[in-house]
Amino acid sequence: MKIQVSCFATLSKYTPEDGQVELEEGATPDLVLDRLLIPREEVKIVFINGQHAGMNAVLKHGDRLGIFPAIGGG
Amino acid sequence: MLFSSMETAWGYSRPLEAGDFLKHDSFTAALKRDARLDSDYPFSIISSPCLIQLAREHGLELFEAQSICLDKHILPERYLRNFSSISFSEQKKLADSQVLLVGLGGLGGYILEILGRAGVGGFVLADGDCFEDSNLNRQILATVDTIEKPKVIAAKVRLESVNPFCRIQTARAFLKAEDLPGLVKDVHLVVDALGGVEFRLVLLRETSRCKIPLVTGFVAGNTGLASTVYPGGKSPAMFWQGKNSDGAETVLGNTAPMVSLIASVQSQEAIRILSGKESGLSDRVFMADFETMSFELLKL
Repeated sequence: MKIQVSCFATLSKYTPEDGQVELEEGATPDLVLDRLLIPREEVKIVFINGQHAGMNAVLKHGDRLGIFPAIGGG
Repeated sequence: MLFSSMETAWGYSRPLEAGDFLKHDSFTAALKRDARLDSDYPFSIISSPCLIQLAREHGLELFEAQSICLDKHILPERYLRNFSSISFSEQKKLADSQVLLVGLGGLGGYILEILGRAGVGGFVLADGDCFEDSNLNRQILATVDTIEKPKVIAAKVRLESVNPFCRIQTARAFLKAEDLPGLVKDVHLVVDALGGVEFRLVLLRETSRCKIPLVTGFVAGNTGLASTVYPGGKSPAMFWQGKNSDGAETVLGNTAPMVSLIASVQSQEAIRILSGKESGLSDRVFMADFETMSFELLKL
């Protein structure tokens, strides 16, 4: 299955070139971090289809995954 | 006592006396005489210079004069273009409202500008910092004249020149948890315009404990977010894990377009809540990313 991945702020460099990742059924955001070599300690919150989700939530084909670091500037 | 400027404490500094009511009566009569009707609007209108002059002639504070004016269904002309996006009764609610604005840097400067112009009646302004050269790229209150000067002083001077009908208290300090109950007791809303992740969690906890809504904004480079947290509601606190040095802004910096955008979203939320409308960002986060020009409402 394919999912769409967007990484923001300091993580934007990890967004795949075509914005998509090919994964096996049952994959989780945690697995996406492994696949894209994103340092786990830099990821603070993820959203699936715009809804806050856990790192072990099960992804489905066509899902959009948003990945954010700590952000606190003002 | 944290306040460095108490000369404009909320409301009346003493109990009302018979003379005050007579003063109000003669002020009201003069107000009705000088206000003009306009067939385009369902209320009378009075200009700012005229209202200021009448207040002086009758020995009233400007916020007091504005309050009587709105009570008599007369709109100060300075708010005319708010209508009808902001109704007359909503304008009155704004004038009767008080906000604690924590942080007067990038977000806070723009928020103060917008809320002051919109007609929010009272501000508690808190920041312990002084302006520096590197603030000039984005902080509206930072100018060549305010460098090295306290942010709260520049904010007060600016607000007094933008809207002298506002009441202002200043707290020139980097706040601590124990300062907050005293600062929030007379306000209707807290606006988080802090820099750095660490104190945001404290502010969130204390506003929730005091049962006051919080409108927060946080930015880093080309990414910015804003959210409203009601007591007991969901919060974006997961974005604020770690130390100040862990925030993406320490690497990416902050730029005027994103800071002013998020400040605008926070200001609109504040106006909605203070004027009695429903929040648009409760349990949600507005997210803007200028790198991909994408905008989304995320659900917490």
